[in-house]
Amino acid sequence: MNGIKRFVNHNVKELVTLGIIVVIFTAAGIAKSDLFSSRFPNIVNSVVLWMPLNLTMAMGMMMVVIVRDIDLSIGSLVAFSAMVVGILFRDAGIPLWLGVILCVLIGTLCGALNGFLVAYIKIPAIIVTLGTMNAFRGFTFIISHGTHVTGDQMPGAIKVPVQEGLHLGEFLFPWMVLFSFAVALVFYVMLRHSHFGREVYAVGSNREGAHLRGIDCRRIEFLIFTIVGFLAGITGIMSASRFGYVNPSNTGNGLEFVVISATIIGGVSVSGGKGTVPGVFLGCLLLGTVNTMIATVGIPGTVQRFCYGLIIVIALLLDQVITGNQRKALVRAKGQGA
Amino acid sequence: MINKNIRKIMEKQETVPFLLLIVVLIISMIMSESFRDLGFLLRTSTRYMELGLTALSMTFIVVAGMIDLSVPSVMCCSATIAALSFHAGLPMGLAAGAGLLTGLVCGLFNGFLIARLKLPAMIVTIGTMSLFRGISQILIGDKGVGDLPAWFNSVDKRMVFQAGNIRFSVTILFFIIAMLIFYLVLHRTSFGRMVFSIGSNEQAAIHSGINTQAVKMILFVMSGLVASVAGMATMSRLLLVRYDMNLNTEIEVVIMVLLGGADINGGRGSILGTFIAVILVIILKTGLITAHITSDAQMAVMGLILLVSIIIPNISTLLRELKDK
Repeated sequence: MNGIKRFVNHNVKELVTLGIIVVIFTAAGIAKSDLFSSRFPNIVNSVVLWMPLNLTMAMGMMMVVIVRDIDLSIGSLVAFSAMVVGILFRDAGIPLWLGVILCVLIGTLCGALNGFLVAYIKIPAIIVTLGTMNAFRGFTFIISHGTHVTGDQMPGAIKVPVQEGLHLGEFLFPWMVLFSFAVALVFYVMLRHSHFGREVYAVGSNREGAHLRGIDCRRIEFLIFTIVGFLAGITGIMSASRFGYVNPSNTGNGLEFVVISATIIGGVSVSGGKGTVPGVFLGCLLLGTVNTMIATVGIPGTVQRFCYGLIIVIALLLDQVITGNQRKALVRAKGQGA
Repeated sequence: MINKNIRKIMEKQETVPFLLLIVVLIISMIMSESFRDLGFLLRTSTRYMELGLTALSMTFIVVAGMIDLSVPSVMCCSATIAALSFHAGLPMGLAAGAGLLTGLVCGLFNGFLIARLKLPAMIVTIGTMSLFRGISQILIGDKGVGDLPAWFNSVDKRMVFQAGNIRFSVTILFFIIAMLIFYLVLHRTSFGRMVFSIGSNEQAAIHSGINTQAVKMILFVMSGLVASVAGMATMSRLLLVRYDMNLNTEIEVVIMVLLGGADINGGRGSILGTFIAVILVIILKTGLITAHITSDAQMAVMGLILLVSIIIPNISTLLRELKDK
């Protein structure tokens, strides 16, 4: 009994997010009676297909937010790396494997540039990433001359990770989705059990303290932004595969805001030091569910933006209530101890 | 001695944007005839004045150590409400009043979440950015709402006075008056000092008896109101309102403020700096357009200019740090 209570207490945020997802599904099920019978596999498939890009990026954004920074440039990094590789596919006809490697490499280098400016030149992350957000989006336009790369101009095999995957009855989990789940798993293990992961939390919750304990905070910050760039490279090639085109204005546009939303909804605290991979996973799942359900229930697409905003505000309020309660409980427990 | 003076001038926040402005102006003048004509600059600059206006109120918020990304959404939302209430039968004057009221309510909502509930401004306004624009999108969908009365339209083309080729439109005059008022409030009143003190050390501000909640509330309400005024001006210039009015321009407003030397961590910034930065952005944008650089590629230049303008003042501290080692 005590074990259950402790589990609930430790995972309040995750459970609340899960609860909201269940409520949305139930409400949609009441509105459309065939939702839980014939259309259910379709719904689940489109929810999971929404996730891979956002989930992969959210893993990086989570670490950035944990150390109290922010990265607004991810959408542009995704577009830039995808565009460079897209152009190479089109004009130089490079093979797919080389494209993937180049895409990840370019993303990593751009991320390292962000990291260098933030950690070593000590410019606030929001300014650096605001600058690189504009710069890389602009470079994307310059190198592409405003044209886009279509699916036919890329190697045919690029579509495989979306179209094929693990079939479980009528449910289809494309390879790309499974890959992003694997990325999340790697980050889960890394953040909980590796030196680096624990140091990330240490820098986030108390930078001075971490410094005094001998942690090189600059190195951690630099590495985090580099990892975000690495993930942006992966997301770049994933986006080319998922949408079947690379477009200088559409690719990765607005991605930063969706990913930040998912991170906040997933319970990563903007005051630093707090945040878990399962929480962020559920945050992504929630946004994916909302996205799909709006279309399924027949609410006009124009309402979507409003719903996103509403969910972020509600998530912030919930976070405030929960942390307030936890603080009260802590004070009470201390009072009993004394 | 001279060295010391130079360093003092370099450390002033207006210096870097001012030097950049001069460089950009000289380059543009060499590249294009039309930049040697003040009338041309004034004519083309009207459409950036609306964003410049919101950059002035954003300066207050950044100085207080916060940020408001919802500004363009408030512009859009209040313009929508104004246009719709006109079509619902209100006279245009009252409809514009309804628009301003919308801005006020949006500001109150932001202020309530940030000042009263102490939620982080950046995340709250990322949320309300979608929320406010979402309201406008729900109300008018993908359509444009126009057909506004003639006296309301084209405020940017109405001239206040004219001397030869140089013409001052209502928008420009309004922007300059607003700049003077904001300057006096931020740099010459006790309220302005409170804003600075909250930005540099909030705990100290609380202990010295400043009602930080009230000040923050006022700042966000002000930001909402100014945004709705700018929204009215934009609608008047465009002759209609759509849900994507000023979409993605929050970044441009922030860039204007940061280029003006304001510190994103608060406690530093000036209206004069922002004013110079607004002019810099205007000249840069018109300059790039006359140089046949597309508006998308301009983003790269804007981003690089932002980075450079932040790195320059930091280099001196960085060098000093290296020397000390």
